[in-house]
Amino acid sequence: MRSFRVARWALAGAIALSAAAGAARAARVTGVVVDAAGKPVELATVAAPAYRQGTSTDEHGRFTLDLPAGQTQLVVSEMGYEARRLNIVVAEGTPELRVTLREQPVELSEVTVAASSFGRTGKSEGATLRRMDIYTTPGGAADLFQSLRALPGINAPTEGAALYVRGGKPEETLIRLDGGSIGHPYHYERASGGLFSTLDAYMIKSAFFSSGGFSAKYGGVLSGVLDVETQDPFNLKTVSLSANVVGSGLSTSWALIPDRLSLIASIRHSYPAVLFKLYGSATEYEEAPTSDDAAGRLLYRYSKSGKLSFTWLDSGDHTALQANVLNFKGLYSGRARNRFGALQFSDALLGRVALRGQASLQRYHTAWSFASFGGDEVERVAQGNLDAVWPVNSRHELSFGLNLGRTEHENLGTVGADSTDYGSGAPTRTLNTHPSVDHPGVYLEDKLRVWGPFYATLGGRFDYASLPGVWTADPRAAIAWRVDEHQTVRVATGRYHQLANVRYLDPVYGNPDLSPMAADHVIAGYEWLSEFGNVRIEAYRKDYHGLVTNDSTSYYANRGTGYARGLDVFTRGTWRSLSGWVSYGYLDARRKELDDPHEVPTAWGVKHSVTLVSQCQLTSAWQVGARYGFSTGRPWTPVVDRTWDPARAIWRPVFGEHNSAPMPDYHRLDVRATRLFSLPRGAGMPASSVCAAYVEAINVLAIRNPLEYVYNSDYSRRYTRDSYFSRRFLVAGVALTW
Amino acid sequence: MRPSSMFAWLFLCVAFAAPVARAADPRAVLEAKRALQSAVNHAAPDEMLKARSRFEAMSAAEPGSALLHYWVAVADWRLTPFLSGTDKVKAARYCKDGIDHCDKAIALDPRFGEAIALKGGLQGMSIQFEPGSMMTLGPQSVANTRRAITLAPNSPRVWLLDGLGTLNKPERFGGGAVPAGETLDRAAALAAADSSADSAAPDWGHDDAFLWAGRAAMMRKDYASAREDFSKALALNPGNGWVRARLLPEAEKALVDSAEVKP
Repeated sequence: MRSFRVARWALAGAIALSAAAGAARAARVTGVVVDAAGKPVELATVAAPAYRQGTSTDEHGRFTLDLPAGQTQLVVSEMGYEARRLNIVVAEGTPELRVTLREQPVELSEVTVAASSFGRTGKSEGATLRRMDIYTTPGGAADLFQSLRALPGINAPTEGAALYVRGGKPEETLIRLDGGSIGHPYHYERASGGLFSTLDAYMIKSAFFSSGGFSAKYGGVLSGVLDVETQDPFNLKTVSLSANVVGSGLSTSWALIPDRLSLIASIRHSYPAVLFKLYGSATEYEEAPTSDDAAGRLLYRYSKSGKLSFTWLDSGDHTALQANVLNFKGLYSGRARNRFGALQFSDALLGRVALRGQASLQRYHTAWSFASFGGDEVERVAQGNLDAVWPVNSRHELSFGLNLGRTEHENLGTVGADSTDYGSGAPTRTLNTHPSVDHPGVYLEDKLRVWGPFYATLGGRFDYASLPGVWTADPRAAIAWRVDEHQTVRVATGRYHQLANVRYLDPVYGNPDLSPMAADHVIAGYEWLSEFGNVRIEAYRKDYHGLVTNDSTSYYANRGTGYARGLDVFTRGTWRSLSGWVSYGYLDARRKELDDPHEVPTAWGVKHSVTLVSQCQLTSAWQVGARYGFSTGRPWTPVVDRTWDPARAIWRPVFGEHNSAPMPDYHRLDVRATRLFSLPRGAGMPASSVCAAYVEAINVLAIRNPLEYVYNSDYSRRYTRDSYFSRRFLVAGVALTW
Repeated sequence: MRPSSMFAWLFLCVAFAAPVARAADPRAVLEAKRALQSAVNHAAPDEMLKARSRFEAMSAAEPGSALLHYWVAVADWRLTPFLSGTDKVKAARYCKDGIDHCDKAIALDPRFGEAIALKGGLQGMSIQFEPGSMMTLGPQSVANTRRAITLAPNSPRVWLLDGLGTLNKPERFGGGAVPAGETLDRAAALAAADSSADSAAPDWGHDDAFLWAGRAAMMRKDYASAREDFSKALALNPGNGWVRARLLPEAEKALVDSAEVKP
């Protein structure tokens, strides 16, 4: 019995030892890791995650790993090189491995292939303009649109905030907020074409701006894109108060549940009456204009990779002023309100595909009156987008998505039937229009590394317009050649479509058969970029087809054409505590649209524009900066003669060739000094975070820049109406943050 | 022998004999930690890189370990200031890599206060590479450090990183030696009592807490406290070359000089 027990133990031991020996039949894997030139790569990581084994290479690039016999996968990696995965069979006598690591090409996401995206790009901020740039650009008044005007590609004919991109009208630029299209992002739009943004700079994380040749992701626009992302911190708890002579604001980032739920919000009120009392105004206001806006974003992180957010914006303004149109002066009163809400989610599908969905609603309402005319306009835009980015491998990154959209426009009112007669008893026209259009679209784009330093994006989109019921196809392509780590050459081309203004599509007062307008872009540019500076030169040409013209039988037709061609130069540099940039734009733009008899210079086509911005960090607390802007005068249509109308007993103008005369050149110099500081703990308050006090002198040289010409009653004399900033203003303000 | 005993014995034999599914060797982690500390003691970036590569190899072999990601990030945090003097691009790359490893550690363990504090420290460091990001990274760095304090209030490293952030911040923004000194003194007090049974757990920074408390004291011209702090740092880590060769002698000289000035 005892011998049986011993035998059993012996058997068990033998089985156990043989099993252990089998499992532990480890074989030594040795090898060398070299780079493409055959030089050993020191400190490279060689790991077999299946066995939780890893090591690093020595100074000769050699490594040794003891692994169980059989098939396994080795992962070889080192910073700056493309990681390699090798399937190997581990066995006694396995020959030495030789692993060649290739230098990591610049990641696709780090390469800017698209043309016309000036400024900083890349993973870190992914933006052309960051919040810091908006706050510190002199003359920018900490306003997104005023700061953007200092970049190339925007040939601004006035001081307004509206974006005139490379000869295109403001409505030719798509403005998105957290993925949703937001029309009317300006205050005082009807009175001035928009003066300031309705979005507080505090809310902004980044703003990507492109003046042409942009991705197939963006549809429904002819000229440019401004894609604004709002902040998304999860654990901040800050409150900011700001005030200056024009208004005040309160903003906050508040972690409601750390890592889970966060709120970012701001409210602002502006009331420039104090400023006008101090310095006077170029405009006769019946009531000082006021504006209010409130914006917020509620963020919820529901998983490690998934986020849900709701962004809302509610803004309004009111103004009443004495307005001049030709030879008529009358009271203009306007009130506008814009409400926008966007629900957005982002997540990673299967850990590889970045998905982003968004649904937004916008309602813009404006009511106005001028002399005996007036109206009410309501615009509703509903939109849904689903975007996906799939980094297929290190050579391809696919982007694809779906857009759904519906735009409705209501216009009720009484307008002048004769554009030269605004007096009492002038003929009128009653409007009562309710056009609406659905415009879904799909896109697909591949960002790829073609070969070596050549990168490209190839793609396109299809869009449908329910009025007039047509599909459009927009192929787009861009290629970038990274000459070296500092220099890139880019060429881009593509077709772009945009719906005609919805009001022109009304079945009764418009033409529902109007096709979408089209533009073809060709852009070629060179960029040099280093940590010391950036030089960018870009030439472009944009050809328009199917622009809307007046038509005697169908009101409107697609018979307009036009072009914009030009050159943008941008150079930016940093030397010690000095930094700054120079931006120059040359533009030659002509169009035939509405009542133009043939292609004429565009009313917003500024031939030469230059912006110089310099900033100096005097100490870590003091920063001074200046911005000088110059542009040649925009074209306008002169009154060359007059005729007496006995029936109406008024003088009527006789216009010259459309946009045949230039307005005077425009100059403006702004200076800004900013001091950063912190408040100590006290009075029950904690110590503050970084606070700022600033003084900004706007139009230091007090140059009277004319905005437009107006006339006396018989058109025998001409006067200029000065721009809003035609006086020297001194604006002081403070922003306190806890 | 009952069959169940035999199978248990068999299982144990197989389990111990096979290297399959073996977790990171605690001895290897300990050796890498020692190598990193030794490299820091000797201010030797090349040795730091080697120590970092050990952690990286372990982390690559076991990507599900939050602690190993954390240790790679610690090595990156150590390396960045050494590299930034000679190769800013490389320093920025390691700083970013450290933030990425912290993110991985936090994703694996969302309440890993030490990793959150380290991320805050690295974010603060990264501002030097991209000053324009100050407005976003600055508050995020502070917020991460604050959150780490709520999650790991007794960690000397969390307070050390908070103190360093304050020390590097200009006085006018609430930084400087005086407010940092309070935080660093707290870090030092916690360091004196800090211990961990887990060899892979964060246990670095004891001498650093005294070292930086001493540096803050020097800036306040409190040379006696500085000398005491440097002496304690040296007692905790006799190999710390910076303290031994430079900081302690400077504090002693300053103390003598100040005594000579005073009648």
